[in-house]
Amino acid sequence: MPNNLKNTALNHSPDNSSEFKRITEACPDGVLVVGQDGRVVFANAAAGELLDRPVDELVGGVFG
Amino acid sequence: MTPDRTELEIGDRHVEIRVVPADWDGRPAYLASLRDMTDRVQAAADLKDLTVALEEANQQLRRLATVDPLTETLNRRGIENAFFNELSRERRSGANLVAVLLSGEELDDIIEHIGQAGADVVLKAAADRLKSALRPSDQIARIDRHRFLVLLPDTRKAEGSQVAEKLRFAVGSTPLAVSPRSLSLDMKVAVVKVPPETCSIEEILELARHSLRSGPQRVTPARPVPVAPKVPNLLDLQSAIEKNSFRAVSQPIIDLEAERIVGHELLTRGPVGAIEMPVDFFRVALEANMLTTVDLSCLKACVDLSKRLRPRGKLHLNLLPSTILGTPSERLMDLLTTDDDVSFCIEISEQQFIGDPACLRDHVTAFKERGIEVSIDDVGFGRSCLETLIMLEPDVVKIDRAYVDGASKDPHKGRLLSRLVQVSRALGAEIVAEGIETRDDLALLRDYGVRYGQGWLWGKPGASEGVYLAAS
Repeated sequence: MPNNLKNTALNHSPDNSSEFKRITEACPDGVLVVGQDGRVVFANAAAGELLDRPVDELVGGVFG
Repeated sequence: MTPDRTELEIGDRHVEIRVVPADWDGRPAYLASLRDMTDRVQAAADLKDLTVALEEANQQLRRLATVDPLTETLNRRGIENAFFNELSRERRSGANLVAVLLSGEELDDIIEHIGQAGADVVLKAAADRLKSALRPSDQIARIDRHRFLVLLPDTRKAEGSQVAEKLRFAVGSTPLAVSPRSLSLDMKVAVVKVPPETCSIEEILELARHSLRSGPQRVTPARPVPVAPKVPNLLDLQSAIEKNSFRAVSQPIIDLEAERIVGHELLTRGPVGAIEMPVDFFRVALEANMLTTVDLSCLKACVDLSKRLRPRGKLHLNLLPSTILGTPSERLMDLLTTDDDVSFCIEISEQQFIGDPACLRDHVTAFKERGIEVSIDDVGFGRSCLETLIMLEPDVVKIDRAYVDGASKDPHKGRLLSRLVQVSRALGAEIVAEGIETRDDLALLRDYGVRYGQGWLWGKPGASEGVYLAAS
């Protein structure tokens, strides 16, 4: 995942989060954001396909 | 920032994961990107399998290209490769290489009696016995229908004769079983010490062919028993090649004005007797198809002498056009490389120019690039002479003695000489007149402005007259 994507879209605010979601939905690679507690706070569609789980189930689960 | 990178098997997927630290709503988090590498990993594995399979197939092909399928000995190409490897090793170590030729001429009769398939079985059985009688370092090849060639590295000739006898015995002592009957095969053998100047299997075969015999080889023969040789004096020549008994003699090249020695032509003599003079041993070599081997033996003798000559000046060496064309050029340069600072001039004889001189052009250029001068020998009014001179642009033209000897007494000869000198000079070549025997001829050459010459006026080729200082 390119750093500039992180820098522009990851920081702060729900607005930015939804922008990040929109961009990563189109990305063929799986994208996960995992909090320090190991819980998944964000997953895109490709991540769901790759891990063979619905995105809803991924978010909130523990990754690793 | 360089992401942490790991690869995981998730289910049947191969996933590459890259992780970088990130902020998520102001809290530290990790951003992971997951890439499905399954297809790529599979493709790499497939490619590796294919490469391995291809390499195996290539090895098999190489083997097939160098092995005789029936007898599983080497084929002609296989033994050639082995021979070249052996030869370069021999030249480094100075060890001996002996070749044994085994010929099962009776196979032709066997084919008549039991057919080709039966003969194949006999040949295969014979090959198996030969192989099991050899050392691992020896090489054996089936070179044609019923002949095998064996190369014995690090072997002296006497040992080679013993091996040959052992091989003959291995095949002939007990019958080779071929249902429904058994047959014996008494092979003829020939043993030759391979001279280091040899550069092809053909030459070895030629050397061996003439001494094929069916009886036991004597283990330490002083010389082979002459059995009505097909070529007169061939045995003398073979023995001269084997014993390396060609010797070089030198004849000075003189600056005609100052009568000062400026260089030497190195000539070769065979063993004392019927083939002492080059014209004789080259005639025998030609009939026996061994010209190149003999010529390279002579070259080697001359280069050896060149190391001992003092003072040297420029040293002229003779090579036949066929040798220049038939010897790998790195081989030739190898022979011409000495540790000393010596300048060579290769004399190419006009008399053997049979084809198009253009084919020698590249070789002449290669010599010149190595700082070796090129001279055309025996130049006269032969048919191809002018064409040769123009094509090859030699550094030196040597005028045939026929136009020099007696030119001062014979006005016709003198005119021819004058014209030859003019033509050579016009081509920009240095001129050396051969066959100067009288002071009158010398004076005439000086008048014509010929700068260099050689001849009996200053002594016969050899190591006498005080000018050939072959320091031992």
